Amino acid sequence: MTDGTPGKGGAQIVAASPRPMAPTRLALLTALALGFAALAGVAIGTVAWLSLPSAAPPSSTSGGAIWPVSPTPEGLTRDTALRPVAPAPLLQLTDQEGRPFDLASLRGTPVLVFFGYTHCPDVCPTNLADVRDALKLIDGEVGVVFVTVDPARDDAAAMKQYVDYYQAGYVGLTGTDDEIRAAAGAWGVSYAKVESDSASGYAMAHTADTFLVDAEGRLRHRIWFGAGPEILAARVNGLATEVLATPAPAAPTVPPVATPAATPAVPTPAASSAVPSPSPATIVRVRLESAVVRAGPNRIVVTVSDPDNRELATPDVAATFTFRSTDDPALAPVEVQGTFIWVVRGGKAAYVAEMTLPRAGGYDATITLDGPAGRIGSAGFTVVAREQSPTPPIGAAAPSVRTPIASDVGGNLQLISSDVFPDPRFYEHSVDELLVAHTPFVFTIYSPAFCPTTACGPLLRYMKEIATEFPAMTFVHAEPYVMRDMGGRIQPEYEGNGYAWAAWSQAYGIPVEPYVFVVGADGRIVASFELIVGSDEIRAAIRTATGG
Amino acid sequence: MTPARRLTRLGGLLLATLVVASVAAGCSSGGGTAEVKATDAWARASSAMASAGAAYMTIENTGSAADALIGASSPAATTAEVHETVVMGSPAPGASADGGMMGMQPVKRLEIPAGGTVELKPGSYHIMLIGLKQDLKVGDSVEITLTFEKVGEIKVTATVREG
Repeated sequence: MTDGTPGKGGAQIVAASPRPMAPTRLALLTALALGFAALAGVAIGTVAWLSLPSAAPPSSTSGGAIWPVSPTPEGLTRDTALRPVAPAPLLQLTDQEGRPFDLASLRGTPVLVFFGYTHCPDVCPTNLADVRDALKLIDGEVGVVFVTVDPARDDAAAMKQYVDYYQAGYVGLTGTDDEIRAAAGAWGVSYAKVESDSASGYAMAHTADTFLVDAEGRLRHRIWFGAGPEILAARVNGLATEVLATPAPAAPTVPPVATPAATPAVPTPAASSAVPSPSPATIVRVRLESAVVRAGPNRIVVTVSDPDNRELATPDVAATFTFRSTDDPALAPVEVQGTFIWVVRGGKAAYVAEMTLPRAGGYDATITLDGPAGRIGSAGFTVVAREQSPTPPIGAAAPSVRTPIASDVGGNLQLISSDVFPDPRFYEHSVDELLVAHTPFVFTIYSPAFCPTTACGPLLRYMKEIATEFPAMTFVHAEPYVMRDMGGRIQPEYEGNGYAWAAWSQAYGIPVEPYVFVVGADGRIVASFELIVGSDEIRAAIRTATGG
Repeated sequence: MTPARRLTRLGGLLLATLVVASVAAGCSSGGGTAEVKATDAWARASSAMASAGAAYMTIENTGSAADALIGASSPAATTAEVHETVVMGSPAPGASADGGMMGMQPVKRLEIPAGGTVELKPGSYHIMLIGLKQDLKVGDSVEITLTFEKVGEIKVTATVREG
């Protein structure tokens, strides 16, 4: 594919096309990818228990980000290993013969698991063909399990016709809406119905990664869509010789009292009971949301759920954190009480640990949850504190940078904000002006329309409420990315595998969005919030910044 | 393996069809000509029960004016549409598109730039064959008519293979 590839809407994406590119451009892409990996490394490397998103599948993708697919060029092999190694999530559904199926029944052979649907013309057949080709390169038996995310159309009979076509002994799984939702959630698979005016009816957008479960029933790899048969086969063939990281110290688990015990939707076949897997009811899953962890003061955000993806963070459940340095075990562990915050009020929630890490390097962390009726459980995770953070630390001078304001675009805020209802108060002053004027301000870098995480949703809505509560404070919002006018509607420019960061995002060094910086009249950073922000945290920081 | 690589690897198996059409581009400011050809067309072997199939090809515009693919039809399917596989939704925080959802959207107008090539390939643009009238068996041929804004209709023959 040449430069000048048409993008959506007929736009020309001339530079840094995210599509597969000629070998001469590989070096550039490698550099970009490595730079990006360096920024994102902490986030990717420290997700605990499973490197899987914990968010419930969204019900709709409207307003969600859309990228053209960008397969990784040859030569850029990505780490697909999941650390620490943990038992695969439960997978108990109905197979293509209408029989109860439990993934545990395939113990003894490696299993490739992926999700899709039978009305899927491109992605799923590509996955199935890649798996078919991979099997020819794999020594020994491998189970293949295809799980539908479209149970409304894919009953057992439809799954049977679909998998039988491949004549390869694949297992095709379906279930009720609730069973599929629970299974997808447990595996970190998102899916959403996408309506269009296509004659094919609706499509399902879905996570198309392939999961590799080893013969002992442990989830070992999550392999990206488009990796191809060679990489799939290499991961399977490498299972026996792969060096596994030393498992994190086993966290004590106590049966939870805050949530009802999970009831398997389908009875577990007796065969699977030979190798008992941990009861899901005793496991707390923790996910480190923070991308930046540094030596010194930190605000670390985690979300917690049970293996069925039920939220465990509630206002009456207390979280206690412990961080032990793995580089210097003599250092006293840091213990801190977590603060509960709503991500979406009444819905998704998180805990914040505010503490100081004494040195850079690795930490074994533990979160322990206690409900009104006693101990719920605990889980371990690891964090890696960097020597320096890419974002300005608390107390540092806020970088002076010009941000877009209403007068730049003749008052047409739709050209500088992807917010459906842009608040004019957020686009009156540029950051550099405010610093010169010694005016305290809240600077939100966030894309309501293109933010790629589920934690993003209501941030600007909360910020509007807060702006009304604090009329003396100045608020600035800027899109994180270089935006292009697509005829009255803005859309981010692409760069490498993602969006191109705007100058202000680069000046503030943000590796992810959203980010909120609270800056005092002296031009210094009072507080910064990454990804998940509680509105009360912002209120408290504003009071600090304004001395009240 | 990337889809592009697969195309290359299996290229030798193809019975490539090559059709060229050209027309004066009256509405182009440069007054150039769009000259469009579609090559290496193939469709993925598929059961009619799958209800939807996909065909892929390379479309090249050797002319001096841009053109655009605006429609498709095939006797093998009730309807044919141009679709694009895209990443939607929520990759992990800070990550690239990895981990996002793979979705599909109809493409009303796929521009073929002057002097440019657009590949329809797995994981990207494809002709979605909706309502397959028969199994697509390896070795079969599928006729597909592509409709372009300027050069009008082009017929291509896609060879069915495992893909």
